[in-house]
Amino acid sequence: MPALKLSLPAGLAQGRLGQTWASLSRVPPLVWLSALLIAFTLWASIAPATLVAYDPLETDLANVLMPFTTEHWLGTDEIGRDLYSRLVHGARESFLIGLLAMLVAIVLALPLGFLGALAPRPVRHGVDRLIEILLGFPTLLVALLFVTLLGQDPLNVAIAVGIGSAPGYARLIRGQTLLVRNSAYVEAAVALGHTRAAILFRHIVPNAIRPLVPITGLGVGKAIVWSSSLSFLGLGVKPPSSEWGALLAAGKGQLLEAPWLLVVPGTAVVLVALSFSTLFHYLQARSEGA
Amino acid sequence: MSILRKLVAGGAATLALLGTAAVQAGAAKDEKDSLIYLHSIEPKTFYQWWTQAEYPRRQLLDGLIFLDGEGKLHPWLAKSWKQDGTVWTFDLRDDVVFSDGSKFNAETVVKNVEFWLKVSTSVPDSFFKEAKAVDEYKVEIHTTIAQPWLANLLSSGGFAINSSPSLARDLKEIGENPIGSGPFVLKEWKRGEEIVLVRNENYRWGPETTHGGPAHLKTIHWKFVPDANARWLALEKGEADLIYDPPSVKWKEATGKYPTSTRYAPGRGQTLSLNTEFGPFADKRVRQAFAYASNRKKIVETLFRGSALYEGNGAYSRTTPDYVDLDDAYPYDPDKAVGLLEEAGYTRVNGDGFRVGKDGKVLEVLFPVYPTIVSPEGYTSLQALQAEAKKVGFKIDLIALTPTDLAAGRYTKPDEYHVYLGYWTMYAPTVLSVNYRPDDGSASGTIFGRQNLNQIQTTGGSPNPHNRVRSKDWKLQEAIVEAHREPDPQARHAKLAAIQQHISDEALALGFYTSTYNLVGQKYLSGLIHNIHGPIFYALKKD
Repeated sequence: MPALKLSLPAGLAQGRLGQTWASLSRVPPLVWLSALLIAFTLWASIAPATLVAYDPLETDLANVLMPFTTEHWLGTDEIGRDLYSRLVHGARESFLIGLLAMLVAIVLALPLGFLGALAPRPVRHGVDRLIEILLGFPTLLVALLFVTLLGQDPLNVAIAVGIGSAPGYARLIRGQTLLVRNSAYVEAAVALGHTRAAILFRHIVPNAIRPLVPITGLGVGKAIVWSSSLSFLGLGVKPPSSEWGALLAAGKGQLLEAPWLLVVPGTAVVLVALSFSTLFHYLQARSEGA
Repeated sequence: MSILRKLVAGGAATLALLGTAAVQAGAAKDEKDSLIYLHSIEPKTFYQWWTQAEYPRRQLLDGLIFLDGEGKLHPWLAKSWKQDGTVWTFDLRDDVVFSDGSKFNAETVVKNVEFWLKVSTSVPDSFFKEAKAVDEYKVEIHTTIAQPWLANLLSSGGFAINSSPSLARDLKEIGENPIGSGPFVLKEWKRGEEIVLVRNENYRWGPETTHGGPAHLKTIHWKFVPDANARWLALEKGEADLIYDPPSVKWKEATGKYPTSTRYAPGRGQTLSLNTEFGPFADKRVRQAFAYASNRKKIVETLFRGSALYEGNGAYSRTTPDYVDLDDAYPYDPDKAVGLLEEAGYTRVNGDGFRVGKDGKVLEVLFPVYPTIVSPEGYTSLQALQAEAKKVGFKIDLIALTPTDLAAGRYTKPDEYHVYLGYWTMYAPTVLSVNYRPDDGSASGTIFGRQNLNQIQTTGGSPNPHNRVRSKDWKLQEAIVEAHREPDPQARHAKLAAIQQHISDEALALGFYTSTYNLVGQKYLSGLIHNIHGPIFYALKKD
């Protein structure tokens, strides 16, 4: 990716500020764009009302299925609701589901990963086989199963997606833990007579979970896609919620007459997922010193 | 693989797919003896007591009486009939043979009446009592009170005739493979895909006004395609001969481009039944406020675009005898709604715009929505209704129920809902008795006991699961019974009109939109019989 060519006034070009500026100026534009989009989504999640002029549930029966206009930037749906307002308000639900799903996945994956790497052999093997079995099922299928069992509300969708995503992270944590466990500094700590608990909590855990930080960001994007998929299939959040998958599901009924009702939320899901992927891949690469 | 090779391989695959699509396009037209019909909802069995199960079933089973597309009754398995008080006498055909080889006679009718009484909770409320064979081809059906519309009822698929031996099987088997004397027999049911029906070559007893002999079509592929857009596109591509319910946005185009047929179901259309026992709608003023605030007519006109009509009569629909037009009963009037709510004690509005009662409770309405009863467009109409009602301070919680919810028995208690949207198909004002007969308190159970529609079971007379408004008004039920007993048609009409007006005045149930059967077919089709019970493909031809 080409780097942004920016320059600072001569006086500021030295010292700490200068170094930071120089470092930021090397960030590719696509990463900046991704960060901006994520920031916008975050803002929309926190204070949607500051970004829109309409209530997302307010109908205008005189202006249904309107294409893009100055009054309705992204058009209106079949009962005259402003699509832009719905999209912005839907960001909160989509984003929160993504975050919560990630949290659930990590909370489940951490003990599984550590047990798979550090527990006594029989437990370790049992956990390993369990992770392998769970990995054999596609994430969406596992999420479908759990959303069917738990019921269809946003919290359950997040839990279901989290459970579906957990095995992948568990395997990652297990691999990372094994790597750290066999590292020289852990061997050194053992040689110095540190206790097992100290080695575990001071050396292994912090170093094993460090790569998870950028991976978690990637996971949020993925979780948004999974939860939207569930809603699109009619198994997630239901209208009148404006969660993006629910918007997609509602829009498909108008595909022939008002394709923007499908295209706009679909594009939003793709762009936000891509933004998370781009930004956190970049951060991952930076954290690994690339 | 190089990028170029990938592109070539991808292109070849695309061309192959397009080629397959081109072969498939127009395939429906070329099969002269075979009909491809696309429907939306797949029932669990043929014998759910539900119109969606009746539609395919009535291709397999004949009725005693035939209703033509213009609403006129004709002989079918019964040659003639007459009413004398609570007894209806039918002279039957003597040449009818079922597909299992058994013969049709008076005993067959007796067995069927017993079966109907056993499987449907609504049949006792339709005043059926019993049937008696007078001789081999003459039968009497006795009703508990005079039932002037028995002939109408018997013309529907719900009361079509099964072979007598087939009714000795268990209910599951009857539901999976009913044995009739109809123009088609079941070949196979590929679950989730289609029902395949083949011609009954021995059929010779087609109803009066038809050609009488075997059906013109050899095979019917009754396919289930839930998505309206997919059905429409299949028709457009020539992959289907006939489709049910195109998307509303395409209705105008469909009427200009293809032959269409519309029938409005008798009984109760899609109606909002307000729970008068539990929750905010126990107060008449709140019910009336909801009626004034909901802007139902505008919502229906905007959303359905002529594919369904606004129905202001919550008691019963326009194709039911002695119907009264009540479209102007509750015009959109938010000011009046606010006045009524304030009168009812909802004087304060909270920060979210919802009204709060004197007891500090928000004016909250629980609204479970059944996906098998309410179409996706219907659900959108409820979202519009939710937004309109919010303008005067109603907080409507739309709860889109799922099969899991139904299986788990969620929202099955009488106090777990405040409003219900649903239809009830019945070609007689008797639908009032089905929908308003109060519980007699002799048993307890769940009001939605039969919502799990794959079950065939009788729950007895109480509780009445179809009394969604939770009416406890025995005077209303007595008035309904009196109207049935009234021998003079004019006086009967006056009594039924008064009942409809009463239901409207009390805002027990609010009409919303017609339960509509829209069909769109290719131009080469002819001979479609489409009455208010649905289509019959017996005389259908592809020219």
